[in-house]
Amino acid sequence: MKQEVNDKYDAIIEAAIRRFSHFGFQKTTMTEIAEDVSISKQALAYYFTDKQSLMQAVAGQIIQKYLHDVESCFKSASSIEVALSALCDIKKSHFERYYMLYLQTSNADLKAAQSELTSFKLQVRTKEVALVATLLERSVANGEIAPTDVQKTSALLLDTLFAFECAVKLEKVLPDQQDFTDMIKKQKNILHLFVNGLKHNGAKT
Amino acid sequence: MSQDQKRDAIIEAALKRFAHFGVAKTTMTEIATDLSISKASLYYYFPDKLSLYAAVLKSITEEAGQKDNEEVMGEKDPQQAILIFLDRRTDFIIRYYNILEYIKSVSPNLPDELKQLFEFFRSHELGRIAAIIERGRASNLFKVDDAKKTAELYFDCLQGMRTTILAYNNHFFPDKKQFQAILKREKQFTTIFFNGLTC
Repeated sequence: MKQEVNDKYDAIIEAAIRRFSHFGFQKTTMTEIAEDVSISKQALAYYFTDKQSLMQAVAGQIIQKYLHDVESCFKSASSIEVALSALCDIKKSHFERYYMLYLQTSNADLKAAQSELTSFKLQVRTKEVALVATLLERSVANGEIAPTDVQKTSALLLDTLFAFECAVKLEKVLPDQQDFTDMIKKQKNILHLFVNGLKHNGAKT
Repeated sequence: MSQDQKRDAIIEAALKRFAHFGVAKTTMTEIATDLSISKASLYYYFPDKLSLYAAVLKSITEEAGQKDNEEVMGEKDPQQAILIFLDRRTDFIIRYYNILEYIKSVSPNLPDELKQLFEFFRSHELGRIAAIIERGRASNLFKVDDAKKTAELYFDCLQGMRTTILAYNNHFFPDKKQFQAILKREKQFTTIFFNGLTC
């Protein structure tokens, strides 16, 4: 009995992720998700009282996976360049799949939903900064880059990458493969300059 | 921008949204926003979503029709020609599924504009199938009394098969594999049917 409940829960999350990442939060209805999983709306309500809580569970799962991917990537990276390049790759595949979830809505009713999402974004951000800071610390320790304020640098680095993501989001409603490819190219280029800058940090007069 | 260009731009924006979100989940407001025009401007070209939908359908069908026609009509062997026809048809349906499936939702009360459009499509498709069969008859490959009636029979069977298979569909978008499974059966059926026509 417990296994069935778990299976249903997983199936619901899976269906929700598919719908949210294709149609976005606003255009997905609980009815559709219930149909996808072949249960009634009432049965769905037993697992998730409203779309909000379902979205939170979905966001939580996606975020966990993302952070886990980044962490294990950093652990196994041979150099800071490799690590940051791989970070771009992870971000790209993550963004490609889930950009719909980040889309802002102008509907006033969803401002409340938006604030929940914002707190989530903050959580991810904090953990991301921590992971990159650790990477930078390591790089300073083994002489790859000059000493630097790892917290500040980490935040700056992530803000830079984020800026390019924003550019894609603002350009058009439905980005295509080329847009993501262009984005990652720019991100890698700027990180290259960034790392060079970090290497010679102390050498400037 | 000329009126024609503007009209085309609207159809293109609508096409993008319809293809991704489906027609039901797309609003005129969103399309207007995509193009940075006012809703009033949009309504000047298309009084409602349905008329815009009809225009989008017409646009994608004409575009696909031109390309496919050359390919299909270029193939001398009618058995091969009809298989190519089926391949292109399936490609089209897979590509524009979200747009085409809206027809089912609108079906109960089809407005005249769309009714005409579908009549046009149906006769267009039938015409192409009939042309293939007629060519087979003319080159004495097939023994056929009335190419048009035979085409109608064939077409109705295809439609029937598609409906049956999709009835078992679950509610999420049917994926490529499903359409390819349908295509396989259509081709099997087609081979038997056309073999039956052969002298």
